[in-house]
Amino acid sequence: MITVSGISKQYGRKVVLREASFTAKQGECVAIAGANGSGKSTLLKILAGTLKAGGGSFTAFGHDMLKETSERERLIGYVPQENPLIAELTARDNLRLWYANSRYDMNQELERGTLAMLGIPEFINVRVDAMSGGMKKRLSIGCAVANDPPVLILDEPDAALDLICKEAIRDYLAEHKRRGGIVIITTHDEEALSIVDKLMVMQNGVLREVDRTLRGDGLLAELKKGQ
Amino acid sequence: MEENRKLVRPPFDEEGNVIWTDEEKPTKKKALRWWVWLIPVGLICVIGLGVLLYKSAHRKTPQELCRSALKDAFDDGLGYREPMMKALHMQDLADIFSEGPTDIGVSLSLRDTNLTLGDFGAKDADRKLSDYAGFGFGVNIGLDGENVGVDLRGSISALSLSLLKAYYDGDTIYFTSPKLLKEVLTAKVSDIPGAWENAPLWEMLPAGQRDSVKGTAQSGFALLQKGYTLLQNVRKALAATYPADESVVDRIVASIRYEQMKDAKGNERTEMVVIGSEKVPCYVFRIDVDEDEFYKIADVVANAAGGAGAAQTLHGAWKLRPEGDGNGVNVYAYVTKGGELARLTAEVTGYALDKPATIQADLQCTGSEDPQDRMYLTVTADIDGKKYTFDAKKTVTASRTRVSSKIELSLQLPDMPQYGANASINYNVSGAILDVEANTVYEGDTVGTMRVTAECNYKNGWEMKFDSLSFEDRYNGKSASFSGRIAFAPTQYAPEKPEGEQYNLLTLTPDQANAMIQEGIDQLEWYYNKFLR
Repeated sequence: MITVSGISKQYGRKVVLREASFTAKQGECVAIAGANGSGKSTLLKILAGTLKAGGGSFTAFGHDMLKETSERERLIGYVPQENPLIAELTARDNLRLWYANSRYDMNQELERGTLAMLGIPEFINVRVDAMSGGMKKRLSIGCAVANDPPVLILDEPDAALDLICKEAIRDYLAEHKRRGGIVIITTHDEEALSIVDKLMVMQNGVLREVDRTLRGDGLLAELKKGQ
Repeated sequence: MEENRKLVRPPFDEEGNVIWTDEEKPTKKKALRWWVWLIPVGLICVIGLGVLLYKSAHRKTPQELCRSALKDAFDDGLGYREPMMKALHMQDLADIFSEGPTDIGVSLSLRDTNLTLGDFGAKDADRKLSDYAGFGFGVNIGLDGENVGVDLRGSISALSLSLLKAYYDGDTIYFTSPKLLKEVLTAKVSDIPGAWENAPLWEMLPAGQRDSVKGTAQSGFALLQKGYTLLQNVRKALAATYPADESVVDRIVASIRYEQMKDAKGNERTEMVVIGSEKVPCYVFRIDVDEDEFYKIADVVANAAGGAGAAQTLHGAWKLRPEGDGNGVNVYAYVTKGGELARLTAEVTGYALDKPATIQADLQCTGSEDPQDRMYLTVTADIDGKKYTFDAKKTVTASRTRVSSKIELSLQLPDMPQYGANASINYNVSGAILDVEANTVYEGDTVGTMRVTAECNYKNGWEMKFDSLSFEDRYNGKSASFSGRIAFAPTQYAPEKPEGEQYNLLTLTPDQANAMIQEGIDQLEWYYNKFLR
């Protein structure tokens, strides 16, 4: 169970987030849709702990995620828009960095675990700077889940990916839900909404919940509301 | 990916922890702790230390080594080549005899039919570099089958005759400084048991060996005289060049190396290096001439010494010449303080090569307050009769406001005169012209040329302007050109002169120089009287 309550953020006089709130139970996926610059990524960065909140609270499994950093590291995995990879290293070497302190064995994961599910063995010896966008994103997710955090926060994980990559990621997130994990994503892709249990719309820093079955023009209309 | 979907991780509990069953719990292999590696490393260290301590405790002193080797040798009825060569380690011998009057080490060994007196001046040259520099005068004579080599080096004003070395019929006869030779040959060899006790070494030698020594010494002395004459000629020529400044002549440090070799193909090669001092520049000649021509060239060199001034000092010499079956490495190194001059000659013989191979690298730099610097790097390799040559030359011209350099490179491969490459780079550090030209040669003809010309100006900072960048490939008939302009951020002004300190180690007065010459002459006389009369 996570509870996001009244998260705010402003840069100088510019208010980016206005008391964003939502909850998610184990096994749920929360999707946040919104126009570019609406504040989606800012909210995810605050939840992931890479950006300090101006106000509000965020608890997960009974722990204060804004204060208990060690618990945050255990409970939250974050995949930012910009892949957190070292371009000069291969996929294997990048994974080694993340799996150094993991309870999971990287080679086992590559053979028959999460990394295999994400299709990473196909490009395990490719340098990051020679990878496609889909490879980088799958590798980024593979790195983020090295410690198997129950809460996954993904910032547009399906941007500019081909259908096969999207499916691989979507399947993984569905599996994560099935295990009792919680997924928070931002997305512009309606296909990604198929695994969503709660749909939120962000407009000018204001977050509100909408009907999770909205698609197409209906969703577009919600995104344009108030503009 | 499809078949892996079932292979997933176990579910989370209400605390966000993974619910493991005993079967599912991951069995990650633990990496070896860092301290585990200490065990073998420590073990190796302990064993190594033990071996060192053991060897140290049981190491014979040089004197003991020499004594036992000599005993073995004489006990063996003068069939002593092997035990001597095994027992007498060069460094040990150097230690034994390094207390000679000129601090030049001497070795002593006896081979089948010849006397071997080894020179180990390297150690002392290294240890007493400042004293040695400029004060050594050496003659290196080789009479080894087809090869004849003469090596004169050291100071014209310091005929101390630090070295006289000779080869004969494949076996080596080493003579050291006559002064030291005298010490050795007349020394009482009291450590040797038996009939030889207290007898001078010279008298210990069988008649045949004495003759052999004498014969070789006679040849050596003749060449020594030639070398002395040559150096005197250089002095005279320099005196003529600098009539108003006799101190130049007295302070000269000249190293003349004259080597006449026959390679595997029977071609003669003569090498001569003259290194001046004070206002005398450095000259390097590598030419095929006979001995008479060598003297002519020496005169030319001496006369040419009036060129741009550049101080130069021979600072040290180091040699290594393993004895034995002909396999080995011969290294000559000339080093000057501050890196003004460095010279390395390495000769590799035997081993896996069908014929002797010679790899020689010469790096010579000159520098002085007089605004002219030059650097030469020549690497030649003679392997199985094939010659590889790489030449690099750098010239620096400096004034109070500008430093400019020119670098020329060339490479020649054996048996392929049609291939090669050379490049020329000119640049002015303080902002004038950058000019790069590179040529490729194919079948003896230059087929490709690339040229870059740039102009650098100093106006409240650097400004670099590319005037032209062109490439011409005559072979394919293609060409291209480029021009542009690049501005650089302000930076510091160029140095007034090239980096590097100037050294003039040898500052002998005329009286000192004359005294040293007299010393050399005295030694020559002793040498002549002992062996040639």
